[in-house]
Amino acid sequence: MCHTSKPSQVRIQRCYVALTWKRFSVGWRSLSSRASQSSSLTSLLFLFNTSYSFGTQQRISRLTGPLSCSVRMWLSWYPTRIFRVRVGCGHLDWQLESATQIFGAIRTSFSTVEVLALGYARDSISSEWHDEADRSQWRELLRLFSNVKTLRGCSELINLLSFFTAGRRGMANGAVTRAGAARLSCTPRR
Amino acid sequence: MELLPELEQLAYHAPRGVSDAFIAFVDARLNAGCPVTLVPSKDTRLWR
Repeated sequence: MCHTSKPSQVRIQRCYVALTWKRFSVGWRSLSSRASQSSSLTSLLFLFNTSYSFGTQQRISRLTGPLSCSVRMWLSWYPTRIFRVRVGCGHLDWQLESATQIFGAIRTSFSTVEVLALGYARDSISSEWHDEADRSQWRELLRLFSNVKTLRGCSELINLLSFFTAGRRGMANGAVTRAGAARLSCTPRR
Repeated sequence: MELLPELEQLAYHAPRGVSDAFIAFVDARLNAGCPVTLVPSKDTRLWR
């Protein structure tokens, strides 16, 4: 039996995750009508104002003490309606964890995403990402997007995704080897 | 482990040519039985 989406649920087609040196942003665009989107966005804002913001503050407090971490959410109406969340925190692994928290909090809404854009605004990927914990975070984030058909991203991030999946031995001279990248497993289409 | 099982396209913006990272990614997906198409993009913006 096939269940249709709840009337209030947003059907999200496109998502982006932008990691930068001092902050990261996530955003998504809905295919829903304006009326239903407005209702659902209220719910999303409520989610972020409770669980997500609390989680961020908790993380900052536990690791580094009273550092400031800004969370900004807004809906842009031009050129297209895109809901954006921007979190200001310097450490890239925190950004990745925060992104995972955000998408994980509304996991069901992102199961419909077909286009995922990953961005990274820095000259080179920091070596501090190359540990097992971060690989797990990447996997956890990507598992949320089980229906993605198009992936957009810079070469550094695509390389990084291969690296996190394949492990240290999968990368040679800045690029993944065939054997290492082959561990990017998936379920063959039937 | 299943990551992006429905992936069909990998869009890239590389004015100086396709990097090894994209080729390795596409090759890996092909070997895993989930081929993806490498699609050039002129749009430098992350989001459009």
